[in-house]
Amino acid sequence: MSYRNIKVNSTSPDVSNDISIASTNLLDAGRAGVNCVLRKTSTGWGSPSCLKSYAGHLNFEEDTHGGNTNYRYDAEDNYCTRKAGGEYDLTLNITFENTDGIYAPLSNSSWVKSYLFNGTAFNNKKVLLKAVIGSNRVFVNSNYTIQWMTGNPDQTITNSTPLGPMSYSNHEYGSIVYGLYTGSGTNEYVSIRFIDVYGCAITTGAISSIQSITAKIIE
Amino acid sequence: MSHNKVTVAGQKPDANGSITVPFVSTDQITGTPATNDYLKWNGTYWEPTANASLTTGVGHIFIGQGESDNYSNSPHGTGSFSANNQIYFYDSSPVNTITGATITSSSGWISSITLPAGDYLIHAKTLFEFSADGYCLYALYDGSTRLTPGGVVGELRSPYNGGSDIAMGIIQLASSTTITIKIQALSNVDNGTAQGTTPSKHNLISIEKLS
Repeated sequence: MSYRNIKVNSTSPDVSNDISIASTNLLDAGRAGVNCVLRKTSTGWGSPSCLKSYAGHLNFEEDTHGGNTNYRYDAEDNYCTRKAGGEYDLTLNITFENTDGIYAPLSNSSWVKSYLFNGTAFNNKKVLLKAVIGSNRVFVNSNYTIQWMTGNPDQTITNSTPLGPMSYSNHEYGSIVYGLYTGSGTNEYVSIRFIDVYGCAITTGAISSIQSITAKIIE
Repeated sequence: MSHNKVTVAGQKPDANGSITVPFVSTDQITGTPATNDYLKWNGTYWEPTANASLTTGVGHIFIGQGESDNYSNSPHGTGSFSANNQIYFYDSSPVNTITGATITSSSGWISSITLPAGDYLIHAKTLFEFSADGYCLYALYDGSTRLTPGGVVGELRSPYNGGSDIAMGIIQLASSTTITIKIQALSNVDNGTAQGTTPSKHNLISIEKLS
């Protein structure tokens, strides 16, 4: 028998008696790509994208729905956001908590006061939170300072932990408030809490049409 | 030459002359990988690593926790502000998972960030106290070169058409670069003493490495 009859991983020698085997010849679950890593499959080794597939992003759909100027925020309240419906497509592991309790200005199933992050889905993951908050025009010189926090939204703010810096907005200018949440492995509430507030009602239709909240896993 | 003498990665041919070579031979792996585990090189062996413990992102920096510290404690001190002044950001324990990136700080006040070559999405904002209606326009810089559009704060932003308080942009760095945030233009920004804890409670730098 000649060595020419030898095959390695089903590859025969070429005319130069050479058997060239690239890593992709050895993978049984897809080709290697830039920045990919080796991952064990049920039958061998594959090289999928190193980017995980997440189903936990949060995004708010555009909605224009006026609030009621009688619903006025107090310090420690949770910032309430109007639900439109489409945002649920991306929130498989985040539960929207309806506005109610002493730290929300109203009880209503069409408004959200906090987000319950699934402990298993977000275990050891870092989530970048961003919220575009509109200005408020109920009173001249109305303003507020808000901050992303984790903790029970129905308890005093001193029981919560800040997730980022404060953000200030007044009757003329909106703001963006940032937070960085790291999953601990247990279910945890995340919400935007009022640190200081003056003269701000829950929202107006124009303001709800520009508010936006996103949660993006970055690691 | 007999095929029986040929081995590839320690594997002999079978009766048909075929040699099956595993992607990683067992003597190169420590432990037994489970389905969905990844391989991580530990210096000697490929080591199975659980999916949940793998760091898959390319890194980020997050500065700003809403902490309180007087701006007069920063390198700026108690004095007044002027154009081209550097802005300092407070964070007692900033997050940095970008390999090769360093944050330069003193007593929690961050003066600069050095980033390795690559592409980055950067957001920066802060808040100042004013002695009268005014504004402060700031942006990210590499030395005297502005890297991003400006963010502006203050009650009188009309010179900038009511612009946002976010200085944001994607920057492409061909080599290691030290970035700072500096004031481009200002009006009635109060002095360092009068700033109190307002900047430290509101300052933010968020950097996501893109490639």
